[in-house]
Amino acid sequence: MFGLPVSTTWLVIGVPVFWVLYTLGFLWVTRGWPGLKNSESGR
Amino acid sequence: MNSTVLMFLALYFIGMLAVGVISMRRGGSSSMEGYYLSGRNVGPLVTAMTMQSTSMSGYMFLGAGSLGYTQGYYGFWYAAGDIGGGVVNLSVLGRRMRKLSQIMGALTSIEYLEKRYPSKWVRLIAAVLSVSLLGAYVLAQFIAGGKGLELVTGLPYEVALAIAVGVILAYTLMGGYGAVAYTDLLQSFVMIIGIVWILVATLQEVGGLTAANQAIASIDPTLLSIWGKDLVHEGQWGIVLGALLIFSIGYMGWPHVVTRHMAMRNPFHARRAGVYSTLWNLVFVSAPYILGTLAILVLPDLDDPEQAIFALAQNLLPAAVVGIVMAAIMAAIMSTADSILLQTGSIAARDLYERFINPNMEEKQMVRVSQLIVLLLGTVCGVVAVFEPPAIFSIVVFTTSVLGSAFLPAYVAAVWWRKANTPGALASMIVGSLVAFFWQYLALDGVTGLHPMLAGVVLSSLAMVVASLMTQASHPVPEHILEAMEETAELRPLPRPLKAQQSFEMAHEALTLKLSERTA
Repeated sequence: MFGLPVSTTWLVIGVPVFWVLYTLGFLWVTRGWPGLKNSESGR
Repeated sequence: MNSTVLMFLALYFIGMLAVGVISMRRGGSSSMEGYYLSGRNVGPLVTAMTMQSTSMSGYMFLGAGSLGYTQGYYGFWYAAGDIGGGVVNLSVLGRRMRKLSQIMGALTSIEYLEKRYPSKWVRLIAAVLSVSLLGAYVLAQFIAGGKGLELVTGLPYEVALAIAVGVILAYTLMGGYGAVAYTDLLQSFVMIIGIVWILVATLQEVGGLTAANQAIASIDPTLLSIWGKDLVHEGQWGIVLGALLIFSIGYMGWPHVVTRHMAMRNPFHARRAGVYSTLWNLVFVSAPYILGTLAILVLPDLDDPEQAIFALAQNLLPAAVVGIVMAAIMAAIMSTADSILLQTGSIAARDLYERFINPNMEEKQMVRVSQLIVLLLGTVCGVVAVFEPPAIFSIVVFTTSVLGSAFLPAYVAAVWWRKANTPGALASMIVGSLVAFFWQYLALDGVTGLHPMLAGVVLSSLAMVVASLMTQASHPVPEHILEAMEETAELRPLPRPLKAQQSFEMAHEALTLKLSERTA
């Protein structure tokens, strides 16, 4: 892809994709956290 | 230098000072919690952006471009971990550290360590390590700021340095953490606009990424590999995986970065801040390395690779846009310098001066002392920066590794491991800092093929586990800390009694007061 060797493509594209998945996973795991509007007084 | 470029830079500096004035008027320096943590009232977007722009220094525009120019796509090993650094930090520490720090009434990330691992030695060692290492880091950022402004404006280095240091000191003194965080927000926008603009212009110039890679391959195909030019780093898995892992988890050990958790308005803001961090990093972090690599085609005879991004901007962009890119470079440097300056000053004031020398100060007096120490530190670093001490950038290389190795296990275990105790924290800090320091000083990475910070973090984590388990009987974790940790794990707002007591019952000032009342 983009004229790069396979290993470089994994580094350039694969690792950022991993972090996107990690972030989505974080959102999924924390889906039970109170909504911000409901917890504004949660300080 | 073009007057349009100067106008953009002047506007940028005025904008930063305006944020400082606004933060001051909002009470940023009227109380200790206001000055150190902006009253724990920072929203998720500002939290994410101040965390990212603080982590990304002027290196991203100078060193990263240079690495891409000299080593091609090998530089991406450094970007790969960085992209996830923010969300890892916020997902592992964010909510829990925010809650625990408030329950314990900690205002600095070093004070937090003493409250969690009760011992004056924890505070003393952590504070001395932080002030000495972060002080060197401030100095290096000041030098980079002076040189950057000298490059952009053509002013003499001393004058450029005085302007850069003067602006940073002015808004940091006026508004404390609030000013630093909100200027960081603006600076993060300037950084991303600048880098995207120059990236688009460069891609247009080289005919797109695929065409550019094919052209680079015709010059030297090894520049497209993950092992660098002439495959000089081939097979160094201990180094590259270390860099990848460490830049993703290492930020959890930096005192000036983890303070961002403590200042959040709401513990649950960590969720949204994590998403903002990833989005910003996806756009920003890779760009300097790509630009450096593409500069091989646009500017094949560049004398100084560190000037790759600057030279691309000058060659490819109209003057007005060059001004934005230059402001972006200054933003990257200043957003790191201001945060470290404030943290170093706060730690020196709160964790050394107040804790060990003069514990009976009034709150307002303490804020003034903090401002005075920030001013003193900034002035001293500014004066030393005039002479550009030659070894300073080598010291900075130590700084990030030593801090990360020393504090990462202590911060993570503080919220996740109930058995983590004071001897464990002390052992971890001492082993981590010594291993990371000597690993680099003795060049053991070359011998062992292991990144210094990887070695430091692994051994300091082991020290934490072994020392904590061996001393559970003699040094049990105090009951009030275990209760605080249980409350931290709960998905609910802090109970009112804890909120009411947070700044008193567990604060060392309160303990000192109680002790003096008992002895009176």
